[in-house]
Amino acid sequence: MAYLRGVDASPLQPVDEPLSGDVTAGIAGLPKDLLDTLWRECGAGNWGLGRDEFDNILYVEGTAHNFGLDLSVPVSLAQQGAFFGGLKLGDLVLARACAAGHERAWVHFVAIYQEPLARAAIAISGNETIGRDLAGALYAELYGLTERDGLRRCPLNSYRGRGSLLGWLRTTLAQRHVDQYRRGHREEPLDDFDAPSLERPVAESPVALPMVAQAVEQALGESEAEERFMLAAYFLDERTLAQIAAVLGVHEATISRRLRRATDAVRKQVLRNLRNLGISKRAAEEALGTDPRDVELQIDLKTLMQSSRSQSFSDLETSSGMASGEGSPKKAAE
Amino acid sequence: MNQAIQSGNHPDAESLNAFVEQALTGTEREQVLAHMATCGRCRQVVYLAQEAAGVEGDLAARVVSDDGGRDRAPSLKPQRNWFGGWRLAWIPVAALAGFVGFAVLQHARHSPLESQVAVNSLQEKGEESAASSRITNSKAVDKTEAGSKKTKSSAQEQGPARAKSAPERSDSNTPMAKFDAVEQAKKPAERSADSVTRSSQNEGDKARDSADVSNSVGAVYLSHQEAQEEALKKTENLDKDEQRRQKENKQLQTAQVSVVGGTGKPPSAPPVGQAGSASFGAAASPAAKAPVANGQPTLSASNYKAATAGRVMADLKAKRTLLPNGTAALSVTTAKGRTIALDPSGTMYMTEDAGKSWVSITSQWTGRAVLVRTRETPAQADAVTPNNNAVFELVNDNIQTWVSSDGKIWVPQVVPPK
Repeated sequence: MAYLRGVDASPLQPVDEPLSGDVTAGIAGLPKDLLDTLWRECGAGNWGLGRDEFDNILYVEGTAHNFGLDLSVPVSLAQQGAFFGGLKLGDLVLARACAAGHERAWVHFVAIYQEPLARAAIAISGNETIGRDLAGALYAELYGLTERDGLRRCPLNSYRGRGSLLGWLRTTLAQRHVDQYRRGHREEPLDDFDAPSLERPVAESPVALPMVAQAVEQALGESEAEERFMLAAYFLDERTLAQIAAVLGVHEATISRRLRRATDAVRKQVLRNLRNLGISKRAAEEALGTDPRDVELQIDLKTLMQSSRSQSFSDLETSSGMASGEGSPKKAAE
Repeated sequence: MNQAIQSGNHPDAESLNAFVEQALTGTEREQVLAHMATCGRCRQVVYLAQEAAGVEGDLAARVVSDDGGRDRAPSLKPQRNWFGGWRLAWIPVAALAGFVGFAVLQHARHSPLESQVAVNSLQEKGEESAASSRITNSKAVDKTEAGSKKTKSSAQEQGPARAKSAPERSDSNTPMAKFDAVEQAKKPAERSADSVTRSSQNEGDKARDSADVSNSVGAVYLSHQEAQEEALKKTENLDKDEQRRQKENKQLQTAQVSVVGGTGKPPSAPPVGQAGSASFGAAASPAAKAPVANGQPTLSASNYKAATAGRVMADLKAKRTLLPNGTAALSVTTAKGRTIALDPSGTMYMTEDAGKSWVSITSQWTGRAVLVRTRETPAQADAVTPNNNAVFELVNDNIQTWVSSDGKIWVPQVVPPK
């Protein structure tokens, strides 16, 4: 994962900013029967939310992104109902009630999510101390201890109910942990940086490497987003088929099949692109047989797929964790 | 959503979480995937969140299993129910078990028949060996016969001996046993047809009389019980026909014996080796014709077996053929796409469309036609026929033969002078 070293971290996600959107007062656009039904089902009144607050929440969530449809598409009543039916309304009203500072909502939130939040932080960081610190920091931030311009700011306002609240909390923890690590990584001494040896012999390639890079870039650009994600996850991040399958929600055999198909397609397309660049078929095939490590020294093919050049998080974490003796068994095993 | 994935920005936690939980629409998912394909940071976030969810899920499963009342030490690995993973496997296992059970039942149903057939085949083998020895004896007798009384007497001595063996084995009531008995009695009669004697003719008649029983050979492919029922039914239904045939046979034998006694040889006797198949209601099949070497019948065991089966099947075919006058065919033969049949009164019918329409053939022969059959070779043995392309042969009740190439025009077959 040397391709990620020395790369600046990408801009952070402003998770603590309130949801932006052209929110206007009033709920005239939503049918009253639908709002009544949703009000009864989600139990927003239990957390101290008023009916007006609830209607306003729904109005913001619905109209901010046109109920999940394109902005130019008129939305029918059925589509509105389907959109609200797909939301985790119970979690949404709890989050908004907590963000609004309702005590009953906070009591419930702590009772439900405090321990899972700590376990998730420990699992993410791979260290109990770091994990508890991470969970505590987020918990304080959620409680609204952070103020900006004299206003209490709560990240729970950015939760929109598309997924579960616990999942959102885990993802937020992961974001915080990754960003924190990347910020800290830039402060590491250069002695630990494992620079490639300059004495390493560079293999002669029959084809000009820039042409290969151009052909690969074109081939990857023409492939689908999911194929590019699988290729990056498998070949760059060195994730297992099971991990990729869990992310995409399919069986790992499907991932294996799609990977094989995508690899073959990219290879054929690269050969085709090289031929279009005026390279003979034999020379193009020999160019594809070039050791990627040799190619990397000069053109770094992985930058073609990786706009944000950051070191593999797990690798760095493992190496640092093992060096300090605090790495988790799982990471150490990897 | 779209606002969250601007160029240079990362998807927010809401979008990434919705992506992991498969809660995004198609367009949103494509946008997140396109970003993650080029963003290692977001991929790492997703991986870590996924791992945390997995840990949480494992813990939840462990808590659920602990709530089940089992007092055990907590372990790091999730304790999964061993049979839980096999829940879906029960379906194909059950289907396989059902298939195996069905196969066993089918095998059990057919095994008695197979054993019966095996027994019969063993019996037939024994009979074949015995028959071959008898054929050898018959050869020796035939060589020295040449119309001498000594040969006649030896044939008379063989007759009772052969006839004796049939009743001995026909005491069994099973159709297959009857069939064996019939075949046992029938074989010598067919092989020694060139040295026709009264006794051997009677012996052959006995075999033909009970030939219906041998129809059960067609039921070899049925179950044992079905074969029994079918054979018994056929035996009862065709009993009248057999009685009539017995009478006709006796008449024919009487005429034949008189001819033999008068001239020593019938005026136009069938060729050697074919006379054995000149049985009523049976068309000679190609396999039924014994190979002829120096005018001597040299039936091998396999040929004899095939000939017997062919005769039986031809007999069955004749009985199943219904002629335009409403009677069952006495003798049927088929060649060149034409089927010729004789009714019990000797009238000949021919069809060229597999029995859909029949044409009556004008009688061009003397006496009553009792047998039609197909010739395999244009000229057989030492018989000389005016038409070497003759395909069909007709035998009347005086053992005279007519031949025809098309089934319509019949000419008498002439025996060459020696």
